[in-house]
Amino acid sequence: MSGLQPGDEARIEAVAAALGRIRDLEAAPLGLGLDPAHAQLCLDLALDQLSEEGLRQELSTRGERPEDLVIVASHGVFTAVLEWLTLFAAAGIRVRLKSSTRGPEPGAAFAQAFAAEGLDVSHTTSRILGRPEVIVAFGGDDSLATLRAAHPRSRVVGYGHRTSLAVVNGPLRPHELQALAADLCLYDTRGCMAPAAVLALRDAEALAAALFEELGRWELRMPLGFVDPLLGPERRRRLGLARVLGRTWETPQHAVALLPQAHLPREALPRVATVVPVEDLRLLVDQLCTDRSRNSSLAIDDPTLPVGSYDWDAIFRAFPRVCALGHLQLPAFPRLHDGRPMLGSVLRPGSSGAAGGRS
Amino acid sequence: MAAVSPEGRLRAFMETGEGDFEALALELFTWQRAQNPAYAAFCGGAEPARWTEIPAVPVPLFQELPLTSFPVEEAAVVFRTSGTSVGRRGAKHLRDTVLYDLGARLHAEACLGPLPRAGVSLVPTAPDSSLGHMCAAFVPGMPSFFSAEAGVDAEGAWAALRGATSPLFVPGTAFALAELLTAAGDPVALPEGSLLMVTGGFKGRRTDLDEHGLLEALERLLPGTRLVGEYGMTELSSQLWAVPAGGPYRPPPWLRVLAVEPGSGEVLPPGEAGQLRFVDLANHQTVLAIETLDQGRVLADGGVVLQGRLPRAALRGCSLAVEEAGA
Repeated sequence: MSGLQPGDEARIEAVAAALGRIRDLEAAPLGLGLDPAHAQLCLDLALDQLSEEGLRQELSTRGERPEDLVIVASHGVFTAVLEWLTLFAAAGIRVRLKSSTRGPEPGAAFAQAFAAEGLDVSHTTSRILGRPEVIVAFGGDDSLATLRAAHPRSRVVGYGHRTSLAVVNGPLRPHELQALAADLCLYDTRGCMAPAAVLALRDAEALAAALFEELGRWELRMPLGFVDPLLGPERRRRLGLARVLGRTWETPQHAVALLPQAHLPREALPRVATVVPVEDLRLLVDQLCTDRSRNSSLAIDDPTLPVGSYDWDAIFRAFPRVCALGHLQLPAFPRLHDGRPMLGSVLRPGSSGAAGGRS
Repeated sequence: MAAVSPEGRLRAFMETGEGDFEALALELFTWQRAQNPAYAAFCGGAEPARWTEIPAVPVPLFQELPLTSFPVEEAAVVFRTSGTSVGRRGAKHLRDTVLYDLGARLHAEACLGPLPRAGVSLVPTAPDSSLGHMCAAFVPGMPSFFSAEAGVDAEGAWAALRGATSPLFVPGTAFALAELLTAAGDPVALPEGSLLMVTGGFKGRRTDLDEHGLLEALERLLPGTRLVGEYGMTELSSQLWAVPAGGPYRPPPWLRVLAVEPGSGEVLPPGEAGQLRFVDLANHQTVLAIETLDQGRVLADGGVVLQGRLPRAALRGCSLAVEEAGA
């Protein structure tokens, strides 16, 4: 492909070999407390998204690549860093991966696999990031601002907190229900791409009850892993609120909360599905379109929703990513991450109209 | 259905100690559940056999639900939370403040002795401030040098302190007292018997002082004044006092405290740090059991060592690491 730079093909081969090494790893110790079978499933699914063809496509983005960068990795979704490592290593950028001290294992193992194939990838848990050309970081607005202030000579490419949702129009067939449960359960609902709520356009109670049964089946196959105890207060608040204003279906491991639209949550909880009946579409537009920068992904069962509907069209346009049920936590590679090109966002400014997109 | 309010028995317990805390707590729970549909729904099928098992309402729900054991439209008093930490204000509706006022004075005098009759206030005076209400009840007509809009009138407060001729009650939030210190001059020896009450944290505001530094500075600038700590919250009707300030907080006999494991909500043994829950019999018009977002240790004698706010969990996966990397 013409956009590739010298050395890209060789590095793509090396990256493929590194990903092969990672596929051979035992996932359980890397899963940050996920049930072992669940960790293995997540690792396999994450690796399945990464292809040589996808890499070639992204690497064809024109522009000057930075010499080095640091990735400040997220903690909860242990495979989230894989696509970034893959891309930057294949691009020939010197990469240092900074993992959380709470869970350095996956980052260390992934970096080692890349380094073993001769790629310039290292790992650290140190807070001292040095002076890299670029820092790619994930966190809240305040944290990113702090990072920018602390590293004025580096370009900080930040990805902040966002919310994902699922929208269910029709009664779900069994495979669709399974797909929705996967959206909710993968990674024990830890990431930005796990739906904070399921918006039900009809018969929310029936959907909630069916979803509760499906979550129970998930629980049998892949039990809930470690849950941060500090999520307990929010779990009790949300379920308590639903008991008063809606309805709940509860076990200690999984639950479904039915909440009125006015209480639409913006944060997902581990295996606590929140079903919200949509009673006022205009209100929903206000809730979802006022601050688009908070939106991540929208999963839908009915792609025809926005057809002929101004409101739904506005809602769809307010989310950088719209996908089918079952794909929320399996984003394609390459893609626009929070609406921005993955490689393009780290290219040297002015070198290609880089911030814009690919050629 | 327990249709008769246990208020009389609660009052007797508060005034004389007559009665049994657990029996009263369970009676009050049954009565509140019958009177308060929201609390009844919250409790579901819970059947507590002990006071420690009474379902505790998370304090954020006071922002979202009417939690009264009487028709809320009959409320004569509304206390609101400051909302400085979370951006929204919770509300506690009361039909009257009889038990509230009784309990506040009884326990304050039990911990502090007779209260001074004059004062200088550095706490909010708005009618919806439970803190302001309590302090005004202690020293009616006390001049205030604090307003939510203008902050602390530090020069005016220092002038009032310097001019005191009788023992003073000086209530202040930690943040207001920190502001007071910014205009401090020479130390001021207040009349003997004066009390300075420190309450609240800094509620998300940045200052250069921690609690220890604040107390040290106050001791230096107000020599001889007794410094005491107060812990209260809008959702409670009782207060805890630390005498001297910086020590454990002592609850009144009609309030008991539990530390629970935040994840499971299971009660922890005495001395172990956890999320704090309160069972407050003086909360008879709302709900007696509340779950705070504060953490601390409950000592074997019932005293409480506060350890600030419970850290907020990372609700999303891409939230943590920058905090660690942030310089």
